[in-house]
Amino acid sequence: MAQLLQLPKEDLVDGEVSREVKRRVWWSLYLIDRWASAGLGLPRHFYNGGLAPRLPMDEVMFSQLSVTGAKDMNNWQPGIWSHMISLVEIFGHIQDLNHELVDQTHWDENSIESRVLSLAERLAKFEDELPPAMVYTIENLDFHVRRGIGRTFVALHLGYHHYCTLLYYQYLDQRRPPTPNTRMFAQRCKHHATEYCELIRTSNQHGGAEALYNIVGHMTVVSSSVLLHTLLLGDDHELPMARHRWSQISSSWSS
Amino acid sequence: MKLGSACLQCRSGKRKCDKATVGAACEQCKKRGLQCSSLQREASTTALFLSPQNVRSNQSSSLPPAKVVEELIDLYICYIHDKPHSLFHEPSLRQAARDGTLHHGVLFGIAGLSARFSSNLELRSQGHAFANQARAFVQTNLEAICLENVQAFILVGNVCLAESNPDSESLYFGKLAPHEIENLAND
Repeated sequence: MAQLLQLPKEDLVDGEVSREVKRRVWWSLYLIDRWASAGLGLPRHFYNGGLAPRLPMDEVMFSQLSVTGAKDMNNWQPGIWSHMISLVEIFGHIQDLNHELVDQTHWDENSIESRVLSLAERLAKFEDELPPAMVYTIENLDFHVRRGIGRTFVALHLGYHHYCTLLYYQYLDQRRPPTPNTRMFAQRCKHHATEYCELIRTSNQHGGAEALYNIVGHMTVVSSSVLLHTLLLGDDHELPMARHRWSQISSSWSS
Repeated sequence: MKLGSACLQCRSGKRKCDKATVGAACEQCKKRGLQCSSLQREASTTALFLSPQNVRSNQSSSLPPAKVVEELIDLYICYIHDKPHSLFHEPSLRQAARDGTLHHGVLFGIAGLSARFSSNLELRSQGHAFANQARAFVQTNLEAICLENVQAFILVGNVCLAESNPDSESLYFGKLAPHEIENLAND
């Protein structure tokens, strides 16, 4: 349907508002395609390198754009959504790797490790290249809440920690070869799951930032399972912190 | 669609529902003066078999009052908009709702997703009925290729996700894929 509508092509008859709506709908479909292929096992339809519209603009600027008024696009800035799109592109590769591991009977540890390292680099690059206002800090959270897009900002960072957790999740398995890298990966998995839980807690308490869209439940299951793993199989020194986080995150289950 | 089970009001109030004949309110709801979901079921079930014109007139008569639409859109903007998808220009969406020109698939899709966030219990219990109306609408208008239908499809796919109904979710999201549309055109 999106293809038939020629959503990726810019139609000059449209005003800037319509063009941006179409871009956002197209990119929403792109993300759904990545998420649904992971969650539902559907084949993917959007490939990288195909015709794609410009990334979405700053959300507040867009919501202030008037349908009829003159447009001043000189201070165009990418929106939170444009970062979400780069992130979900990496997620697609993480998901491919995890799917392949499930299908393969023989695992080539060296090749797995090098792929994990290369995806880890891409995630680190993503975080490094975020503009200062997009980096997760309490000040930035305040800033985006004041602009009315605090929940969107939280969604971006929940996604980031969730995808990192997924990349390293396989290394919680203690039967994997104990190399320095695999131990580091397992630690990173726990780190991102903990950061995820911390962000859920902060955003619930902050006001104007709580995350209640439907995939949050699924992501929270994943990070909780990491905590549970630490509680059951972790080293002694990890237990008090894990117990503390567990009591925090399990309280969000009832709500 | 389960037609034989208790109505939503009895289910949420944990009352024994006498499972009224489809299209009429059950005794419990009549007694309590509640808007029984059995009534809504009839609207959404029959909508599937009616011609598009009838569906439209049928649905416009059951649009929620303007105040309720406004609350549902507020909740959608607050909790859903720009999170799992980004589909609307907020001022245009609100304007269309005020003018009564908002596409019904979009309106009921939004309502189906956002009613659960309402503090008004009665409105919250109508979430399923709204979602069913959105479903009926997109199913009847499957072949109308327009931006609003794509938006409505995404909303309905998200409703299925929220209801933990992965098969239907695949169906709706799958419909948005290019080859599915070609199949439709060949039918």
